[in-house]
Amino acid sequence: MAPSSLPPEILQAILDKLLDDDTDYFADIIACSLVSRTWNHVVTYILSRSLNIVTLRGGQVENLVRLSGLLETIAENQITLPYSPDDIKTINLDMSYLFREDGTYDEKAQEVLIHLIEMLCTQTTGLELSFNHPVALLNWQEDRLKDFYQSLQQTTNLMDSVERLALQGLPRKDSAFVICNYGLSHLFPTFSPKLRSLEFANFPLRYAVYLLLQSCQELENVTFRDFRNLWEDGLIEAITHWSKLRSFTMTGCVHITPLVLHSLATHCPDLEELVVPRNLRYSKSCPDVNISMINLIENCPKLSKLDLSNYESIDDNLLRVIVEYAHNLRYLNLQNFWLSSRQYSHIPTSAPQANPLYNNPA
Amino acid sequence: MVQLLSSDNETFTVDKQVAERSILIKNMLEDVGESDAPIPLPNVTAKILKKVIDWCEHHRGDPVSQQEEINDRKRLTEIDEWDQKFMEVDQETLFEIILAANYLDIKPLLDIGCKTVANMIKGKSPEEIRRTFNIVNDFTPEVRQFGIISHCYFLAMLST
Repeated sequence: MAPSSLPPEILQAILDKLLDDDTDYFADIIACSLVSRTWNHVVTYILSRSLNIVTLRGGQVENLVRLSGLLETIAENQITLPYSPDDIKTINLDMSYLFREDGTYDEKAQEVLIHLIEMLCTQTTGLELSFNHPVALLNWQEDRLKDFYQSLQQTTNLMDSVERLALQGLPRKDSAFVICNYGLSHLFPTFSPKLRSLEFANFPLRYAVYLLLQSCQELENVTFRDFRNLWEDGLIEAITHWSKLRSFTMTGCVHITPLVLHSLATHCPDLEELVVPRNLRYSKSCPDVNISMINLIENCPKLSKLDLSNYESIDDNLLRVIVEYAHNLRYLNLQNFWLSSRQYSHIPTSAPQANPLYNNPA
Repeated sequence: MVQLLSSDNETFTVDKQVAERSILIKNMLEDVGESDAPIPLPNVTAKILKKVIDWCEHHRGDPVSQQEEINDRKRLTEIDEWDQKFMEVDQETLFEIILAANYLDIKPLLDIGCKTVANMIKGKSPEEIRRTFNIVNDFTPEVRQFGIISHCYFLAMLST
């Protein structure tokens, strides 16, 4: 008895198990699609309901070559592609492929990775490209990443495919002193005109990248997570170009002043979701930290989600403005704030459409 | 005790708790009530039924729902040592155990069987998978030829 004579539901149960392995499942499942017609049908069914994220988590470059070869076979021939390119919504790439264990740069990996990105991305739309970077890089290594992004820009036509870009450093806080941007100056112009979503996590930016953020005029969602040393003036200037922004999230960031909120209030009237950064600090040009928040609530009538769980300056006046002006609010998070009995009594009656999450007063 | 009758008419007497690892048998026992008549299992041979009973004996104490949860969380390569040894059988037996687990509705055993086969697939080329499981390539000759070209490309990429 062979798997080909197993009922399809059993073959499916077997191939489903490949998805449990998050390192090379994509190459394995594509290989299975080339075994026979029956296997191709089963893989097509599996991927039709489960393919969302393609993760290339790092490891041996041979795995990339293998996947590349398998996709070549499908692309150049009459074998049915076992998935619809549009089913892929996120491609998660670990840039550690580019460096060997001894730290040297792997030209072959660069060639294959770019080829792979081209094959996976160019037929799809609305894609998120997520680059995970090893943080502790030497200067020359950083230069090589710059080469990589430059080649990626030159050899592929990704502008129409990629709508969302996520850039992450590895979460090793002890090595966060290495400030490098890996040639983003080359990458950004490729995406920026059509980029709708941008996420930075633990990823310090250089001056030039803040300027490039200004060219992302279609941005709807921006997230900064675990950011250190944010250049606030650069960010504020970039926000002036984000008139289509609908969601802004800033968590785990420090040294932020209310001027960021002020800029959002002035330039992003369509803002619907806001996660406010913690520890907004005093600024000479904005002595009352709540004024910017109040401006924002008054100027952004579409605001439907407001997360103030990290906001430490909530007072009666701010709550009054929320109740009076945020008519579309559906979600309000006041989790770390203790409401007085009087404040508590205001919210459910004055804003019944909101679903506040807050700590009950003692 | 419960009596189980294999497709080749061999009878096995097992503890009710062991037999009830199979949801199929559990439901049958609930439907029939107390009875001394052996439960016929026409889709399972004596050889495979013995293996399945061995597995159920070993796992008799496992809480059913918890076991499923643990299996779901386990990564592909994580199969218990005892289960790994249990699955060290020839291919035909392995697939018959999987089919029996499916028929008898023993999900943890089915999962382990499927994981074992999936581990045999991992990292292999389509041709290696075909050879491993003796599967006929039924794509058209043109496609097969292209497959060879692609394989050459793969080798060329590796060797440069």
